[in-house]
Amino acid sequence: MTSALAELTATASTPDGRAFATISERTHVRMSLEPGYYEWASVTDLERQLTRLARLLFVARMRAYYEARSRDFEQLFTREPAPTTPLDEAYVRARSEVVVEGEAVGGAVRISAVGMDSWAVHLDRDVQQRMDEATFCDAVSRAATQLVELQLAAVRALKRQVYAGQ
Amino acid sequence: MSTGHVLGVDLAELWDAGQNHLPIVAGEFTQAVNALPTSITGIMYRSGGVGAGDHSYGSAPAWGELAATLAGHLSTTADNLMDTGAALVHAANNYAGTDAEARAELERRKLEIGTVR
Amino acid sequence: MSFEELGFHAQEIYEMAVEKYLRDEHMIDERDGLYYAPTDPMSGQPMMTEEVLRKTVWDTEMKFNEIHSLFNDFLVLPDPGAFDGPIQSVTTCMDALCSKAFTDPIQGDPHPINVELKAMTVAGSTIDEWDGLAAKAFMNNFVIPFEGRTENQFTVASILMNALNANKELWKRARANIDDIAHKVKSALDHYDDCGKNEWEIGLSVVGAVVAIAAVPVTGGASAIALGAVASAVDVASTFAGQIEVPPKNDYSAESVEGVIAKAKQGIEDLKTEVARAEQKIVDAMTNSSGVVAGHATDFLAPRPTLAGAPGNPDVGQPDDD
Repeated sequence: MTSALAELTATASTPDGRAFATISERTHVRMSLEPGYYEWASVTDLERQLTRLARLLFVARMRAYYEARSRDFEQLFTREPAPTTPLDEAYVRARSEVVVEGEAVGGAVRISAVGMDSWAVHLDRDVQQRMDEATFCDAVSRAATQLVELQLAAVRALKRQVYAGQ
Repeated sequence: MSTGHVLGVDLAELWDAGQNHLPIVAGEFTQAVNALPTSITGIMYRSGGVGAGDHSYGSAPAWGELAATLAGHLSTTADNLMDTGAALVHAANNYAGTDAEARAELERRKLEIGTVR
Repeated sequence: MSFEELGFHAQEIYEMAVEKYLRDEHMIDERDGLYYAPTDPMSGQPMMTEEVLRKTVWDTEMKFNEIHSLFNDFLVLPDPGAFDGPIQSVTTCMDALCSKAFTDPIQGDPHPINVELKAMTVAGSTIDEWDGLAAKAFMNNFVIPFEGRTENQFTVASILMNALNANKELWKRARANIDDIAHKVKSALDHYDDCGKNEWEIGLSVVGAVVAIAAVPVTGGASAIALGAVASAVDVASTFAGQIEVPPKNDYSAESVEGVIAKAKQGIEDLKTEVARAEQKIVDAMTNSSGVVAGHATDFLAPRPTLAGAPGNPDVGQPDDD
């Protein structure tokens, strides 16, 4: 059974146009870089760009989510409402403390998230020597995809725990 | 008291009222009652008891009762008009008595007026 | 999603509920119509036997089996289109009764005069020239009150016609509302497992469908009397517009399969309550009017004229001298 959200897609790019990402089929992330950038950027540059990109992709994803929600309920949703019940507050608090990490190539690429508003991308210092651009982008994509899957699973488990049948 | 020609004219008018005008009105009331449905149960059925009133037909019985009352009023009005008309026709035909002039005028006018239906 | 497909959508909601519940509670995945036990991440082996998997799936299917009949009470409802014919018929009745260009007191629109009824005026002026007791009685009790009584009969017909109109709007909106609920239950099952709050609103437009009109005036009579009536919200005189109820928006939220199904049931109960309340207005108005008409019959029907009861011996008297 497919649901409307199964087809959810969103895209984002850094303001300077150096890095791009797409999320599709709810959890599948694909990342790419502006031609040439991988060769001359430093590892620190790459970490900063990718961290920024992660946040931007999340924002784009949530915008797409609220558009889908608005269509499905024929009602205007633009953002998450403030929690109104004790259960809502418990859930939002617990969600803000969820820590997940996606990784690839034995930890050479690691992406971590705390709650829904803080991301960090960590790259091994020698990553540009070990991987060509295509391999690198693929590794980042897999790590990001794993992160999203883990985050979704964590959120579901959290809802199940807090709301227990409500 | 009218006699002769004048009486004949009066009788002809009375005849016309009973033979034509009252039946025309009665006919309109008959058309009204013929157009009026007195039951809507056929279109009001619901399978799960949703709504109010009767479990299967909701407000249909209450509506039908009011409609039947109105239908009765309309058809009774039509009947009363037809019966009154017949009485006026009888009066017109029998009132002249021995006044031959009145009778002749009446018969002449009846032919002119004719019968609407 | 349309009203006709309610049964089909109950099936859709059932399948989604079973699949997602199995995933949430037992980590059992559905792929291409088959269920798969969760596998141990280390060994890759399934974490439950085939038998346990089958039983878990079966128990969940039984748990949610009631969803198949979730919308049952709404599967057969009156068809709004079926009221058009009767509405037209009663309108024909109203038009036939227009001894004058009467105005529908509920919708405020005029109906043209039925010129055939002028025959009553002609007959009346003829009978007025005869001095017999029965002729005079006919004038006083039938001819003179004729227009007033006929207008009252017109009013009753208008009440009947507008009740049909109200029913038509009621069932049109009831169908739209149950369809809306079904649609939003499915969406709620789609969305509850994302990261945000799963809340939605349902506006039960059926609330405003029927306008109750407390007192439609009736002409003449010993004391002023009034009849109860209803109107369709989309076809009512502006003087009654203030009595059109504004449908509230009911809020629902649920963060699990069981929660969504519970809210679905609640939404359906809320709708049933409002449909009942709307139709009760129609029942009350018809019952009230029947009672008032029965209690004041002479305002609607002339007593049988003496002339009518004595066709062989009518007491017309003599004509006036011209």
